[in-house]
Amino acid sequence: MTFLTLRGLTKRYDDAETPCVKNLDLNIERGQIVVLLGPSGCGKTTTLKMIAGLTEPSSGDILVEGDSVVQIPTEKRPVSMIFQKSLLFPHMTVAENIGFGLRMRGMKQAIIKRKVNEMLDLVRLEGYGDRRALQLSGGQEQRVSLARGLIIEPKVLLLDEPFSALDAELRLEMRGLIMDLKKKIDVTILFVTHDQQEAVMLADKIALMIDGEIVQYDNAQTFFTRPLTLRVAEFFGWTNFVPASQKGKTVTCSLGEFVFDGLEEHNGPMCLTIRPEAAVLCPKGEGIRAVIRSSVYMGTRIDYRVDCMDAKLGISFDSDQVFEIGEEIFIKLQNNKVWAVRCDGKEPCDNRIVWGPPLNMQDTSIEARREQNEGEGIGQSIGALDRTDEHHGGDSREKDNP
Amino acid sequence: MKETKTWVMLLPTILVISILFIIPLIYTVLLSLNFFSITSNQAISFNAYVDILTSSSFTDSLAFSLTIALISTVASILIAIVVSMTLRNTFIGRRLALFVYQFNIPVPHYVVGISILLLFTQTGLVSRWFYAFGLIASPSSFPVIVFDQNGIGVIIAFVLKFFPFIGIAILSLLLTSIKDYEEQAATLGANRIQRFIHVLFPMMMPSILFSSILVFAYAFGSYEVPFLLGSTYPKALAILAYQKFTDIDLNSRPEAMAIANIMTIIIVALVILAYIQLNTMNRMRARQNGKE
Repeated sequence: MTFLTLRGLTKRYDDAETPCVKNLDLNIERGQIVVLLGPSGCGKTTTLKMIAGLTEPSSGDILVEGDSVVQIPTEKRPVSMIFQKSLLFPHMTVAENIGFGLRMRGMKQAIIKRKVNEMLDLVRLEGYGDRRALQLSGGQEQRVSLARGLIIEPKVLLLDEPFSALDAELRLEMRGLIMDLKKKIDVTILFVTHDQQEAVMLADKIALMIDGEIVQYDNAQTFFTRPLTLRVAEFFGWTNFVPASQKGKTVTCSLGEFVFDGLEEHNGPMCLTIRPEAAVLCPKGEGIRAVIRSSVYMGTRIDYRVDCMDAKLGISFDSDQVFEIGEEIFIKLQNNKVWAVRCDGKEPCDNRIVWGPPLNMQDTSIEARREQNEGEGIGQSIGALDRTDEHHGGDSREKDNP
Repeated sequence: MKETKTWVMLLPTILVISILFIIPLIYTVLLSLNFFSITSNQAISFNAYVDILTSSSFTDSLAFSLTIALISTVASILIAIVVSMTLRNTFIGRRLALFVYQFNIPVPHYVVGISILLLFTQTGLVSRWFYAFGLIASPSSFPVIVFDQNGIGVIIAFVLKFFPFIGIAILSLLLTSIKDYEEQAATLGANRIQRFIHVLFPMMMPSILFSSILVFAYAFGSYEVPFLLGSTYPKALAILAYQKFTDIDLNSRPEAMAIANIMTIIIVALVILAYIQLNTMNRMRARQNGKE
């Protein structure tokens, strides 16, 4: 039996033309961390608020361990919610904030004190109990907020972008803390974020939500290898979209024919999606011919736009593989980084590169860097690379695509 | 250069405040100390204060004014909280209710006093309605609300004027960030009453304190409402002071000034206390907002 179930959950605000959450179905197993991922305004927070009881659903049901909680008031639901802002009560100390939920339950002071101290240890804030809530840094505040939510031992912990206000370093630290806590505490977590990296790092499963609907619910790896729709692919960094058609199990486009394991048989238009890192270099004359049209230096890699057969692609190589504009290269596409998704009227497929340098940026990157490096006496690093090595730099062990 | 410019800009305000407020204040103190006595005795003395503080009319008036101000303020706070908590919810006709709620803020106290007079005297409209509906045997058996020694009419007038003023301050707070804290408290298991006691009320305190101190000071020093609706004894302090000031016996003037100064000292002391408390609360809030 699933632990938390959302069944046809819908929310339409009085003044809105369309529902902001549409007929949502979601099953979460006990002890899982499920991340509700999606762009801003897609209905993630509304979903969380409905589970917490802060927003009333227009229709549908929410079940915790099989029991509907829709009619139960917020304060009696077996859930706890951590918000984007820490929302520590400013007139209370850290210890008073953490113990708030237990005080509201009429627990004895001695027990509260013991549990608060345990929580302070758990969130690595030993000795901070007597501080005012306002004497803490942003990261410390969120840790107190987390402890305050956990101390009441909720069955489900809801986290609404709790780290989005923190700087990058603190965000990483907090994600680590969540993963540590998860090992120590038996709690099911529903975590909302718009940060794909955060979702991948934390989630047992990701529910990708777009325009109020869950478009794919899978583990993180599947999103990177088998996206269900064009929009899912875009969200997870699939950057190239080439019109194709499918007959049986074979997908055909200007780049050739592709057969994918696990692709449902189908006859009709498709969209071939290619990750930027899918391309590997081949010896001259092998693979697909491509002509460099533009490039952007990205630090550890260089992003190129290439003309490849009749398609335009955005591909990415390590930054030690440098090509001139107009240079001809031969590439092959790694099968595990190419996939085909169905396209319909809502999501038509045209040849486009979602990511990639705009053409007018072309010469400013490599050449400018070459000039800069030569000026600094390090021109060899980019300017005099061994072309032969470069062209043989691709992994020839990969399965060839036509 | 920048500082000079700032001072030049502030100068008109400083001059106006000095001429219209500080100089008269000093003059009042000097008068109360018999400094400008028009009688033969020119020596500075505290006799006026001694006489005032030992007279029963003053102590009764002081108690009356403090009681009126305190009850009006507390009642206004309570009503303002209840109404604001109701008005923050969405309901049909809320806009109209909000308009009615704020309607009498710009109405002068004097007009409210007259309204109370027309409504609640024993010959007023309410007593006539009661009589017409057979609820009282005669208009004169209508309870004495106006001109009574307990100042009920005065309190009603003040509360009518004050609660929307305090309420607007509370409502503006309730409609903003405080709602998030309340939701947070709810998800932690606090019921409606607990949320109010442990979260909302403490967070409303700075706004309540600020607006209450203003209304308390106003009620304590008010002249026109107690003049219209108060009893002949005890009088509100402002009325007592004015009567002594306009007394044909010029020796009463230092006493009038002494009463005025005592009122000022009480109000200033309250304002300072409130300022210290508010400052602490605002510092806490500013730091919280800075973090957000």
